[in-house]
Amino acid sequence: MASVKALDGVFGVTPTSAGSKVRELVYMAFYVTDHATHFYALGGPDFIVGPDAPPSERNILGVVRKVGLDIGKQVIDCRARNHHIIKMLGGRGVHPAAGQPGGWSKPVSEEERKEIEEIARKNVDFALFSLKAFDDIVLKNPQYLELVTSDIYLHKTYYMGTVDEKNRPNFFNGMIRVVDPEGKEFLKYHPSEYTKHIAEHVESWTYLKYPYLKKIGWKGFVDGMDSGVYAATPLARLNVADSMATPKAQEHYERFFETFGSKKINGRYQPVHHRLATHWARLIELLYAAEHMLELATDPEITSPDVRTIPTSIKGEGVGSVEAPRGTLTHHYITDDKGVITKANLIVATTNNYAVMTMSIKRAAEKLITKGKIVEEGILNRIEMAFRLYDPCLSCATHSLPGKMPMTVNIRNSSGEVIRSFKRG
Amino acid sequence: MKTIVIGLGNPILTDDSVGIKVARELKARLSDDCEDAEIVEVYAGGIRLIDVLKGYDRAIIIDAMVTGEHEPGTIHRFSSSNLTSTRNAMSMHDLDLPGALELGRMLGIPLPEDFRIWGIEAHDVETFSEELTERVACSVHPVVEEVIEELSSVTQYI
Repeated sequence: MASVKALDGVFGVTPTSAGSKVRELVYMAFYVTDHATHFYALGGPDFIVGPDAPPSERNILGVVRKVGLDIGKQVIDCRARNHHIIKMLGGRGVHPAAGQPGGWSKPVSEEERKEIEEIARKNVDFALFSLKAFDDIVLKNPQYLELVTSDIYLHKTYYMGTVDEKNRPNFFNGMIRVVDPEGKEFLKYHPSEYTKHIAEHVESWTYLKYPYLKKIGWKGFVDGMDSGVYAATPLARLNVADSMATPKAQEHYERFFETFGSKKINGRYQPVHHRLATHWARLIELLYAAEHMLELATDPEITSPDVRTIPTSIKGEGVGSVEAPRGTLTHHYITDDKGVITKANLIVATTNNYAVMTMSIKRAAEKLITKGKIVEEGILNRIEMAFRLYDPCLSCATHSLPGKMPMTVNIRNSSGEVIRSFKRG
Repeated sequence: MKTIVIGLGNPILTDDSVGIKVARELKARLSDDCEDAEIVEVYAGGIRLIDVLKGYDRAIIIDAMVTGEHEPGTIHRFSSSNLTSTRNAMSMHDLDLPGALELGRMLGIPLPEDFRIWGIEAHDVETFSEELTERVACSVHPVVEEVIEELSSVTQYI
C-alpha cells in the first residue's frame, strides 16, 4: 500500500474516493490477519504457554494445547477469511496486484460487499474475544502482570504514529505525529516531509540503519527527552493518539491507559512506556481495524465503479506512507521521464524500531543478569521477548535467510572474559 | 482421489520461483478437464498451507531447497514417510510444514494423508529476478514429467 501510494505521487494522480476506500478495506483485512498471527503465533506463546516453557512448546501448537481447540479454530478461521478477502479484491493473497496509480483495478460488487460485511462482523467478535483472552490469561495472572509492568521492559522514548485530523490513529492516511516521553506533541508533519525530520545513524557492526529524530540528534542507545530515539509500534500509535476513531476500540484504549495508571494531561493520556504492553496495544488495534473494516464495508461508496483516476503524466517523484502492523512504513521513489525508478528509499517499520529493539535487548540482559547472579531458565526467551514485542523477526528488514534466530548470549565477568555462552540457531 | 498440486515459492526471487515455474508448465501441459487434481501457485507456507490443503486427499508440493550440499538443479524427493520442510513450506513467521499439519489435524481440519514433495536445489534465492539460473531451469522439465507420471498413476488424467 505504501508502494502504490508512492506511485500516486510519481504519476501525479489523486486516487478516487472509492478507489482509496477499497485500498483501505483490503488493508484492514490484512491488519486483522497480521495482528492476529503476531499475537497468537508469535507473541502470545510467551504469555499463554509461559516465558520459561521450552522453545519446542512456545508456539501456536502450545497455545492451542493450553487454551483449547476452539481458540485455535478461531485463529485459523480469522486468517483464512481475511486472506480470502485480500485475494478476492487484490487478485493474489501475497503481493496483491490490484493496486494501481490512481486507485484500484476493479470495483467491489454488491455480492462481494455483503460477504465482506459479514466477515468484518466476525472480525469484530474475534477481536473482542482476543481482548477477553488477554484479560483472562495475562491481566488476571499476577505473575504475568508483574512481568508486563516490571522495569525490565521499560524505555521512556519519543513515539511516532500516523493520525487523522482529530489525532486518532489512522493506519492508512494522515499526518505523522511524534510525542515526547511525557506525551507532549513534538512534531507533526506530512509523510512526504520525512527527510526534514528523520535521519539515519550508521554503526559499523550492523548493516541496518538506526533512524532518529533529526531535531534532537543521535545521542547513542539511550532513552529520555534528550535522545532522538523513537518507537513506531502499536504501543507508540496509542501513545501519540488523543483517542480512537471507533467506539469499541475507544473503550479498550481508555481501559489500557487507566490500567497502567496514566493520567490525562490537557485531555490526553500520558504515554505508557512498558514495552510488553505492545501486545495489548496490538489487540486494541486489531479491534480498531475490524471496526473500521465494517465501517468501510457498509459505506455506500464502497461499491462505486469509480475506483481509478487514470494518470496522464509522470511527475517523477512520490512518497507513500502507511502504518504497517509493526510501525510506520515509508516508500520514496524517484523515476526517469518514463516512470522507471532510478532511486528508491524505504524506511520500514522494523527499521524505525531498530534502536529501541537494540536498547530493549540490552536492558533485558542487564536486568536479568546482575551481580553475578545468572538467571538460568528462560534467559534466552526473556531476552527474545524484548525483541519479539516489536517484531517476530528481523528478516523483513534485513532479508536474512537462516529461518531461525541465530542468537548468542555471552555472559562475561568484570574482565570481559566469556564465562558462559548460550546459543540458538 | 482428490489431489492438489502446489507450486510453492516467491515468483520474483530467482530460483525461489522454481516450484511456481513447474506449476505453470504443468497447467500448460495438462488438459483442463481433469476432475481430480487442481494445480495452484502458492507464495507463502506455514499456517497458510492449511487453507490450501484443506479437503484434499493427496498433496504434491514442488518447492526450492537450499541444502548447500548438492549441485544446483538437483532434484530431491520426499513422501509422507520422510516429510520435510522445503524452503517455502516453512514460514519464518509461524510454522514449518509438519507443524502446520499437526496444528490442522489437531483442529480437526481434513488434510491430505498422502504427500509427495519435490525439492529442487536452488543456486540463487536472493536476487530479484523472474528468471531461473541455468542449471535450476534445466530441472523444471524433468520434474514436470515426474509429477505427470505421479498423477497418472492414480488419477484419470493422461
